Amino acid sequence: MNPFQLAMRVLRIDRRTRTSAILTGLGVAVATALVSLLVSLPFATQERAERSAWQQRMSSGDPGQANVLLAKSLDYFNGAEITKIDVAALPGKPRPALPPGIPRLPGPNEVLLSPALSALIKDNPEARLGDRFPGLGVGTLGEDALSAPDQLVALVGQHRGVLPATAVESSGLTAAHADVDDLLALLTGVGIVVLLVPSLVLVASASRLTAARRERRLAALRLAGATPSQVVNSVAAETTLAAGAGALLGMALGWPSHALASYVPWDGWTWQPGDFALPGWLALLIAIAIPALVVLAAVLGLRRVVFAPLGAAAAHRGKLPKVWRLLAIPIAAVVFAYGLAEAEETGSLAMVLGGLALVVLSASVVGPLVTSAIGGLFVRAWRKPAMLLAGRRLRDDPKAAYRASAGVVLAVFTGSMALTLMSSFESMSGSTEPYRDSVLHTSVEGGQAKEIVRRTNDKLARYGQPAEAGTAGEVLLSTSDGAGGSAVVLDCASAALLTRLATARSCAQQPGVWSSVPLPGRSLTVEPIAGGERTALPAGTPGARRGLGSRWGGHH
Amino acid sequence: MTHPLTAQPMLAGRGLIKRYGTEHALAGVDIDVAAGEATAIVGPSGSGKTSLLHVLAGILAPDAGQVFLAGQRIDQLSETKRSQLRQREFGFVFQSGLLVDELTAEENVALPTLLGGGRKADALRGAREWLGRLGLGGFASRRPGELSGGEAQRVAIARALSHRPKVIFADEPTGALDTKTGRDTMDALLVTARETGAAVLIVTHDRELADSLPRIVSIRDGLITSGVRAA
Repeated sequence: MNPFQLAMRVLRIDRRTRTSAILTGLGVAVATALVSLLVSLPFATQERAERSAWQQRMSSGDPGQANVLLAKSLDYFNGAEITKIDVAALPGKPRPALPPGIPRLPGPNEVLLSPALSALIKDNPEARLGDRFPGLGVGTLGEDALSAPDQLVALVGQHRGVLPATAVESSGLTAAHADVDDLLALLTGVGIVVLLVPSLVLVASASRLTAARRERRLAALRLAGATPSQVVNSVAAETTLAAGAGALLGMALGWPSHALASYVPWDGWTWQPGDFALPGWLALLIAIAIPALVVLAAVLGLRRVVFAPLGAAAAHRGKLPKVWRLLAIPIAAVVFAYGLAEAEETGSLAMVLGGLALVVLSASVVGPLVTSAIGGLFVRAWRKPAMLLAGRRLRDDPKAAYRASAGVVLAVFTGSMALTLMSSFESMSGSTEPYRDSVLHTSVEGGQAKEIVRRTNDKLARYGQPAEAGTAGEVLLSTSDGAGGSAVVLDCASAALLTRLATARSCAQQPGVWSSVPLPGRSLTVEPIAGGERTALPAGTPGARRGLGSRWGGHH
Repeated sequence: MTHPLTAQPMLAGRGLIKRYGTEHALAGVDIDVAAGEATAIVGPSGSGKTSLLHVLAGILAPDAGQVFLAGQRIDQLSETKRSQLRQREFGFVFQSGLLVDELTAEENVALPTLLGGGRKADALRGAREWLGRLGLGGFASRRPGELSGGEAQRVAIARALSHRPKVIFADEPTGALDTKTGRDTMDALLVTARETGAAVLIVTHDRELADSLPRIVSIRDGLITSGVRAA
């Protein structure tokens, strides 16, 4: 009889074991579904960013390859953002390449609308919305060209001369690669730590539901000559059946959970259900890793009987937890704080996540000591037998007593810690936005900037406001393959005052590039936003990044 | 009290010490058990009887001292090797029976052979034979929960003997049985052990049972106080 046959026999016969297995399976199913959803989030944003990359790509890598002129602008209707891309084919150039979802390049006085914008135009008077996108509708932008099904986008064909001076030449409307969002990757890591650690402790606690009967069975096996590995195999088989079934159920639950998640807006837009599809290898890894961790937790939870037949030695009182356990908290706090500082400088998330895991684990190290101390208090201060009994039980085996509630303790501890940290992460990240939250900014035509600043400062002064308006230049930074985005030009003092970027220590009186995201390894070129000569940044231009940001392609 | 090894005993303990915290369960025990010999270990509660049994059987590791099986030292073996030794050379009968509740009587008896890698058909056939020898021929497919205390204990005896061990360890084997059932059960154990040539070491509070055995070892405060062999 192999361990799986024995496990099946036990499950068939013992109702309590069956109940415990069902609870374990359900726990694993929920954990698997939630972890799959969490892990898919950065990939979903990447998928969404890649679909709409053609809307961001406003610069050509090689001027000689350019075949269209593009101008992007944002419009608003009832608070909803509308992305308008004006396009004009350059004469004498080959037909531009089109990304998936764009059936054709609109000619002058032709327009392609996203389905949501098309519906919005139909539902509202022409004068309010439709007139903003004049021209013959020659098709619909497909889902593959939209970041979300409800995104409002218009691709408007124009004559070349009509386009504003800010229009840029580009080689087609081809898609570009987008990186995984660092902030989401961090939040995903935090979420997994927050979710998995208490889940595993709870599953280990669930396996203790049947511990007495299981220990008796394992002791009988040990006395019959079963080796420790045979007993471990027996425990592992029993848990694997439950956890494996739970993982399969969890993966099956992934479909409805992904469908539901697609209705939750992020960054202003909802999702396509397919955005949450995980790469096959990753789904397989999750489906294997979570049950494996659960099996490990179950085996570790029963090591006493596994390695000591009859649990003979365990009948005697164990040693009291030592005070050194208290050191776990400051050590974990120092590692976590160092990780945060490191992330601020380098953007590396490994230390943050490691520190977070240490903080969570420190609760498990300190927990038995606190339990023992509380037991000691009860024993000294008891007035009723129930209190004395509780105190003795806590004092005699504080680890077991703590284990019984560790899952709930860890869930509450990590959950509240995560809620506290989320806002810090978000404010550290800055997402695609380089300015501090307190800075109000807008983009205007360069020639109007000084006049707008003068009028704004007049008004601020008139109303007695201490705030002050100023100007910042805007340029285009791009790589040779056309990826890139706009960047603001500031002196060191203004950069420190206005942006989230960590310029204070490294900004010197020479040109440098600071980005909220990792800068691409390829050489960068800089060009005026209104068009003009493109200049390569000299090799060795100082620069730094502030971590936890978003993908390359936003503001820098 | 030290017993010099005149002829090689089947099982021997030398200077065995076992501590639980500051308490000495065994304070330096020497003991020999000859092949085929049935020995009772008696003494008051907490005297160290069960600890001695567990140390000799390799269930507990001694803090000091040595255990020999047929002249080979076994106390330093790894847990896995000790498990394999228990599987091949030792049989156990405990007060609680310690049968696997989820297995039938014949499967319980076949367990040591199956765990040792024996063929299923052979193990089950052997188990049915042993159950038949102990008067349980009609109980092969019953689970422990469907057996009386005496029947379950005889199944445990069949399991202990099924792989023809060199030593059988019994800890209060009649403690949960009425007098007649206890006597019948012990008769079955001792007769069958004699047939197979196995040494039997029985920890018991039952003076009548101890007196029925050829040798009685008394233990108090972790030390052997007397070791009587019948003439």
